[in-house]
Parts: sequence; C-alpha cells; structure tokens
Amino acid sequence: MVRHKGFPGGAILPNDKGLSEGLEIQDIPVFSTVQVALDDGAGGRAEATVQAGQKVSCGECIASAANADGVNVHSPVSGQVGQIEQIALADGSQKPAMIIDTSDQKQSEGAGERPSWKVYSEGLIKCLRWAGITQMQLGGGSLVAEVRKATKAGLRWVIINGVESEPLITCESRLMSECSSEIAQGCELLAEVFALAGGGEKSAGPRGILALCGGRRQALGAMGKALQGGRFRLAALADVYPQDEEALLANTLTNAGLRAGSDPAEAGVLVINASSVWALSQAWYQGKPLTERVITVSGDGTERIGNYRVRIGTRVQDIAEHVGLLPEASVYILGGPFRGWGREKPQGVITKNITGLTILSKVDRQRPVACIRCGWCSDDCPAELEPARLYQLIEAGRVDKAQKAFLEDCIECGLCSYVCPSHLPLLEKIRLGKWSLRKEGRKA
Amino acid sequence: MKIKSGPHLYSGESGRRIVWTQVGTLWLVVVVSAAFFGWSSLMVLAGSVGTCVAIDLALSRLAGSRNPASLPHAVLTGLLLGLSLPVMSEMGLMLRIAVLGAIIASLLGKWIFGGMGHYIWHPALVGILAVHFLFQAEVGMVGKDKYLGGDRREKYLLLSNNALLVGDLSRNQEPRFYQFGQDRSKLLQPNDYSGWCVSVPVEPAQAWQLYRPVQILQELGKGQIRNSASGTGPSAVEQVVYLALPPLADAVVGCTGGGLGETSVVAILLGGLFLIYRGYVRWQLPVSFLAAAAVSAAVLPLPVGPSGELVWLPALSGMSRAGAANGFDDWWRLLAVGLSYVSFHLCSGGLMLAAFFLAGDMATRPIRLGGQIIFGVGAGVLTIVARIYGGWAMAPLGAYSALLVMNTLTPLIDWLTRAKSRGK
Repeated sequence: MVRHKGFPGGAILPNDKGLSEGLEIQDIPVFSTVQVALDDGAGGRAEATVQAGQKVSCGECIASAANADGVNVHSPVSGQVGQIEQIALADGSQKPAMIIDTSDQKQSEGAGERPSWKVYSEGLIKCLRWAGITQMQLGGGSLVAEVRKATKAGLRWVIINGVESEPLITCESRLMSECSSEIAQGCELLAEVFALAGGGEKSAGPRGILALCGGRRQALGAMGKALQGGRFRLAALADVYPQDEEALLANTLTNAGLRAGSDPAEAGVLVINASSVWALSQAWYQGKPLTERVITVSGDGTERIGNYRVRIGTRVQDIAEHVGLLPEASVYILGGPFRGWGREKPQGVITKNITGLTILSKVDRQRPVACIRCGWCSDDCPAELEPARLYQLIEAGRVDKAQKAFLEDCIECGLCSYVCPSHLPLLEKIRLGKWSLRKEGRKA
Repeated sequence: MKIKSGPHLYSGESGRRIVWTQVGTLWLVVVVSAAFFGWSSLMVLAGSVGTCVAIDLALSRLAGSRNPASLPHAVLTGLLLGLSLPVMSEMGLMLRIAVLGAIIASLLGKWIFGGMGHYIWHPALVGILAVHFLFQAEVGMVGKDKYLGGDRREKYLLLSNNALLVGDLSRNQEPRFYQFGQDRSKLLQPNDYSGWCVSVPVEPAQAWQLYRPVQILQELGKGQIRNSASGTGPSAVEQVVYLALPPLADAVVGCTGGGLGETSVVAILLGGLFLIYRGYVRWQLPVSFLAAAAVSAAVLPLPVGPSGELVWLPALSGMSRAGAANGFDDWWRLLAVGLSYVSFHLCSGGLMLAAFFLAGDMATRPIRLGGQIIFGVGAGVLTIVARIYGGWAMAPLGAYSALLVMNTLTPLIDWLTRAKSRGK
C-alpha cells in the first residue's frame, strides 16, 4: 500500500501531459554545432583532454573528471573540437563548454573499448564516472556523491524516480514505455550492486522501489511487465506536484521522516532518476557513455509537440527550428513550465539535466498587488514555509530573519507564485534571498 | 540575456475574483432579505453599498492605488454592513444609519490602514459596531423604552407571509406601521404571532413586529425568565424554547426578527458552502466557530432568576427536574429542548453570517489552518460568553464583537502557529 503523498502541501495541477504522452520518441538530427558543458552545475568538474582543432568521434571522452564528484564528458557527435567558451546554463550561471563543429564530419559511432566494472558500489561509482552519468533532472546533484553518501550512511532504500510531476513533461514516462527492458536491466544491476532484498516484506536488507505516476498508464504497464520477477517493486503514486522532489518522494515511499530541505542520501535513501538508470544500463551493458537524452518539446508555441532524443549540447535554437515555431511563440523554457528557466529568445543548450523544452505563446503574469493574506502559499508549500512572510522579510532586507524562518529549506517548486492571487513574485524573491545568503556565506 | 525564473504558468486566481465570488454568494441572502423584510431592505443595502463604493473610488484615486480587488471589496463591505442592520418603518433614519456606518467602515475600517489587504479588523465589523453604539436607541437594545413604552424588548419588522415582496415598508404610510407619536395599541401585537410555519395569515396586516430570538436568549441569561417554583415544572430553558421563541424552522428559514441578512440560516449556508467548495474559506474555520459556540451554549452556566442562581449544563437543565420517572418519552422531549436551545443560539444574532462571511475574510484571519481553528474556537466561545454574561448593549452583538476581538488577536495567533522547527 503506497501513500498518496508523504509531504505537506503540494497541488494537483492541470498538467496537459496528454499532449505528448502517447507520442513515440523521435530522433533529432545532428546540427552543425553543439556546445557541450564541461560542468553542468551538479557539483562535479571536468578538464578537457582534447585540444582545439582535434577531430573527435561520437562517444569519445573529451574531458575527464577533475574532482571527487566529477564525471567524464563525452563527445555526443563526431566533429572538430573548437574553443572552450563560457556559456550560460539553463539558470544563467556561466560555465565552460566545448564547442564542437560537426559540419564536415560523417557521423559514426566511435568504437571505444568497453571497460568492465566489478559489481559493488565502488564499481558502480567508477561506471558512473566513466560514462558521465548525473541526476538527469533540473536541480539534481551529483549522482556519484549521492551513492557515496548513501552507502556511507548505510543504504536502506534504492528509489528509482520516474514520477515526473512537472506539467507538460513526459520524457521519462515515454522512456519507461519504450525502453522498459533496459531500465529493468539497470534496476537489476542496482539490486545486484547493493544486494537488495527481494521477495517478501519480511526479508532483510535494503529494498528497491521504482516509483512513477499512477496516471501514466502506458509506462506503468510496460514497467510492470519488465520488472516482473525482479527485486524492484513498482509504486504508482498520486499525480501531486512536486512529488518528484527527491526528499519528498523518498518520504512518500519510505516514511522515514524526511522533509523538504533534508538530504535523503544521508538517511540511507538513494534516489536515482529513471533516465539516469537508463543511461547506467546503456553504459554497463553496452559500453555507451551518456551522450544523448530524451526531452519533451511541448507548449502552445510549437508546431510539433513530441518526445525527442537529442544529443547533449544541442542548442535550443536548432531544436526550435527543427520542431517548428508558431508565430506567437514568445517564451522558451529550458525544463518544464514550473521549475524551468525562461528566455525570450531561443537560446541556451541542452545539458544532462534538462528534461524538456517548453515553448509558450505567453506568460500570463499580472501586475502584483498587496498581499491579501489568503494563506494559499503556505497551504501548498511542500516545505511548510510561509512564502508571503519570507517575501516581506527579504523585501525589507532582513534576509537573516528569513533564514531563521527556514528560507534555505525552499525547494523552489514555484507553487507559491503559481497560486498567489495577488500575483506576487514570491519564488523570485525567495531565490534572491537564498542567493544573497550564499553570497554572504562565501564572504564569511 | 534575460532569464526568467519559474513558474511560467499561473493559476488564474486573483484577489478580484475571490472578492467578487464572495459578493456573488451573498445574492441569495439579499433576495431572502427582500422577501422577508420588503423592498426597503434593498434600499438599506443600496445606501451602504453605494457609500462604500463611492468612498473607495475616491480614495483609490487619491491614494494612487490601483488594486483591482478594492472595488469589489467595497461592495462586499457595504453588503455585509447592510445585512446586519434591521429594516425599520422610518426609512430616512434607516438610510442615514446605513450611510454613516458605511462611511465609518470605509474610512476607519479600511482606508486608514492603507486599503485592501492592510486593515486589521474587518471593515464591515467596524461599521456594524460603530453603528450599534452610535444608534443604540434605534438599532440596539438599550433605550427602547423611549419608543416602545416600557417594553425593554426591541421589535423588528417582518412581512407577513402572504405579503411576500409586496409590502413596501418605506412607502406604506398606513397606520398598521409604527410611526412616531402614533398609538401603539393599533399595531399588531407580537402575541398574535406564532411563527410562519403555524400561523394563519391575518388579513389586514402586512407586517409584524417581532422580538429577535437572540434577545430572548439573552434575557434568559439575564435572569428575566425563571425556573418554575415547583420542582417538577418546566425549567427556564424549556419555557423559553416552547413559549417565547418562534418555531425553530422559522429561525432556520429566516422569517424571524433580526438584521436583514442575519436571519436566514439556509441562504447563508448555501452561500458559505459554495465558498468552501471554491476553496475561498476552509471548512475548518466556520465549523470550529459553530462547534465552539454550540458547545459553549450547551455547557456554560446560565444565571437564572434574580439571585443569579446558576444553571449548569443548560442543554440538559430540564432533565434533572422531570427525572427519569416519566420514561423515555420525557427524556427525549427534554433532550429536544436542550438541542433546540443550542440550535437557537447558532441560528440567531448574526452568528451564521459572521461564521461564513465575516470570519472568512482573508486579511483578518490567521493564515495557517491551526491558527484558523484557534481563531474559530475563540470567536465561538466569546460569542456565547458575550450573549450570556455581556451587558445589554454588547449581548446582541455577540458574534460581531467576538470576531472583532479575534481579528485583533490574529497577528498573535499567526505568531504562535508559525513554522517552528524542522527536522534535518
């Protein structure tokens, strides 16, 4: 028996997933330029191992992990390496990226030798670092670090996160519908690595759960079939946003007293994104490093809504041209409409953690007026915060008081701004407060 | 490059929509008030709403504030203020009271704090209380002797049930309606009234003058109605329920004396349930308000008789007298008396209007659910305390004054129920 949700607040949103849920994953061609971020903000760094002007083939390692949490970066295309430039990631932070020009190269799979790893957690970490696998959703951290932390804390649960509660985004449900056997293979691998207990409830040892949203029938059916006889249990959860936040999901499934802002890995709960499990299975069994991912292109500003397999580093501009823009398209969002980052022009690149490209005709944002104390922001806040109060504190310059009101526990889901009948930019202000706290922290 | 933070979708809710919905849910209450109290009730409402709107338009412009929710909120304030006032035979006086109340509500209740969202008391409450204290003789309790010849009870006009929507109290100058200096003996006396449910229409009459049930309840608490001398006779509560109060059905439907929108429990409940359905009021707030009031009415000791003899557990007070000797039927009858007594407390004196519409005002109630329950319980208990132990002037305003106190305590309740700690 799985609980409806294991966190306060949250909301059932009109998610319009029907637009792209039933559409098969299509390949997007390779465009003339890709920009591969060497650091995608997950905490790991990588240093380039190839020189400008050098020719690389698809799947070749172009940067190797440079710190403990870092992962390798592979060329997603065959082409000629250009300069390393600073590019803006989805959230606007400047990171180095390698520009690869593909214009005069025939695309071919590089026949890199496939290393082999031992089936225990250190072997898994080695594989993740070799293949460049991180948490493949916005805000996801370094998977390597989380595996380390969870094993150190004494692993109790392995949770595969395929919940995807963000509106419009269906890339993971699609992946689970179409590549269920690969994901099931990855699950079994994890079960083997962590010696998960199978069978009845009474057997000892850590357990594995694959969680997805009960509303995604096709993915549910496919994964149910694929996981049969395996050690992973399937959990169909309520379609409550933000069910897919790591700590909240972990609490729904394990009831371990986790809240927004706490780190499930430290409580021995390892949460892995379903796309990351798919990438792991590709790497472990077929020797393919992570060079592509599935994204959902949706919204009312695009001609061909769908799920697309794109190379990491593909520019938004190219994708937008490929899928076709409607004349009214005016907002380009990297990610879903809630946690994604919007731009007025098709700019930015696809990194490993981008789940979708949402192209909207307009953002229906009205002029903010005085708070009427409806309390809806507090009601819906999954972190039990009082966003309206934080807003007032930060606006008054009292970030220290906001910190005492648990500002840092905010998971930036955006529900407060969504429900606010006074149209206050609550999430923006809270992000500003968190940003200035981080800045102070660096100074101190 | 400009990068925008999420969310990029919005729920489409707005303060304007919330307040217009609250105004819209009052339409049934307004219609019912016109049915029971005549067209003049609409005049009273028009006076208070018009004044509130005019002041709001003027001050919005003056203050340069363009909050789109402010205007509908002025309409709501005017409506709630008007619905708490009684209709009287003298229309001019009634309109003057409504307009003055609206001015006080708008200026002292709302704009002095900076308008929409900034006030600390519900503006309509400020207006209601100000009017009741300024015009005690006309709309309040005290000083009625001057007009009503020694009867301390106030009488409110109500249309007779064959005169739905036709009796215009403001224009009808026939001697059936009370006017200053007129011989009161010509008026239809309340003794003729036995409730809409059971009364036969009296041909020439188009209106009755009625006591407000809340006032009779209050007299019970003031020792005006006593336990019968013999140990087995009807208790004071029983006497009140069976002899003095109108049938409970009348109090629920709304054909009793009282403020224009206070009397009809059915109309208020329908509107309130719609607000709950839309999520603009959490059900826990009115439910905790009403539940606390019901429990307080049932258990708070009632001073009966001139010596202030206390009746504990008034809801069960009949039982000890009759005893179980008479068998089950008698027990049941006495329990019915207790339940009716509690129900009358809930159905009278603006308690329903306060619980669903005035307490649900977002700016003046605590924001968290726990705080709202504290707020509701506090208001419910204070209402009954004011009715039973309050003075003559305070008692009929029980629900309103209790709510004003709780409005004042709202920042404190918010502070008590704030997010305290988090397990890391």
